[in-house]
Amino acid sequence: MSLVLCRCEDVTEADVLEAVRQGACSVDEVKKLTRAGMGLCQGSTCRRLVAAILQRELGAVAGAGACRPPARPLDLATLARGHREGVAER
Amino acid sequence: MKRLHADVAVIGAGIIGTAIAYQLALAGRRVVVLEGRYPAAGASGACNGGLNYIGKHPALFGPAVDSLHRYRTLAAELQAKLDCCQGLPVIYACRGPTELAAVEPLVQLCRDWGLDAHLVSGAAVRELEPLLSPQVTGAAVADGGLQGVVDPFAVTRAFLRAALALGAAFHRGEALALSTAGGKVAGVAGDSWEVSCPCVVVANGAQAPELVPELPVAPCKGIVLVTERTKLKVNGCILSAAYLAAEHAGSDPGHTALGLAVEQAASGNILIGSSRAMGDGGRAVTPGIPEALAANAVTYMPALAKLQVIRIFTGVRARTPDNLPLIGPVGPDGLYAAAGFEGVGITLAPWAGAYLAGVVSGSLRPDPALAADRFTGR
Repeated sequence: MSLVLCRCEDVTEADVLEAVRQGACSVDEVKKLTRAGMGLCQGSTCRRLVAAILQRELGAVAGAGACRPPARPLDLATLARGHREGVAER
Repeated sequence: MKRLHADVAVIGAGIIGTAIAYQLALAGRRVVVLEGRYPAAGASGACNGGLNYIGKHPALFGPAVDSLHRYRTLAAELQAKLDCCQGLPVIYACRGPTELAAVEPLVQLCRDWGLDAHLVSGAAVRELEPLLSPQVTGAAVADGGLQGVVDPFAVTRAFLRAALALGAAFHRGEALALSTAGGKVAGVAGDSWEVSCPCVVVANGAQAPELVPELPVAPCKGIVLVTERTKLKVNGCILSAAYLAAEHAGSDPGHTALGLAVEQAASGNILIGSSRAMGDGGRAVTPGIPEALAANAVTYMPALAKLQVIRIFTGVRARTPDNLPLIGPVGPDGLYAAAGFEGVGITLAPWAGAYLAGVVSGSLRPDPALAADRFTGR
């Protein structure tokens, strides 16, 4: 049983090592191969763990992966309330 | 200095470049794929993965249908899991008779090709997609079995892996300069490497003009909201009549066009777009756009309001002045482009790979409407 690194998407250390074996050498690339960091917490937990594995396996690491808004999940209705007239379809 | 030799160098390991590399390798060429970042790091990996024929330009309709037929057997052909789901409807939701009239020609074009498409009432479209609001008074619907969604990252990796299995090479490095000799392509070079090859295919999207300045490709930024995984089911691809207008909006830098585009990935996450910021090649999230996308989605599909948005990502499409791709020979002998696919690259990739390989081998005559040198002449 391999250690679970990304609890949101059930990605294990073995999955990440397999991605590295396939040539992945950045956190973003591992994410797109394994879904690690694509879940509800968006990598809050696993991003650093994946970066540490890359560092251990490959030496130097290129970046810690892209962080994107929102910083924490917010519901679509709340986001929609920030909408101002003038930015409409078209 | 690392030196490589090949028959063809393909620049860009996006879905288009890898599809081309696969077809060229299948035809027996020694191929090297050059990529500055990683496979599908650009537009191919930052989109919603839709596979559509309805809404395609007449010059791309045949290619789209060809490509969607290829997708049916692609997973078996490449021996890979592509999360490809075909057989979903594509819906252009309309509010009022003017919008319905605007989408009617899309229906007609599908029918001209013998493919299922029809205009339906608001009640009928809500039967097909109960999440749509009562504000939707009608729709154009195409449900011909070919359309759906795919994981574009998986497709790109699968094309690349299949090309490698056929003897192609993959080199991580940014292509910085082309070299020519006597009016013919001689190779391509990066900072610490060079490839000697008589043929180069430029397939690096919005970055293509950095290598081939005469290619009129401009960036067009899109922003997508990703929701949590949900038990709600979005039945196919939901677009609005305004999406059609946004896709065909002028390419003037500074202009931003919005339209509804909602799809659900195989994982259950719902992807909500779309925006087109002409001339914007940045990856920053533009303030105001996510809010507008959210408001638009809630207007058309009120039940989405309670879903959590977990990520807002951006992608940069490669857009040409007439919004048709540049695909074929350009400039010196041996140089080819396959760029400027804007929002249609995922749908068209399997076709584009076979088409460009045919053009390179001389077995296919390039379509003038898509010619890479149509803006500059030869």
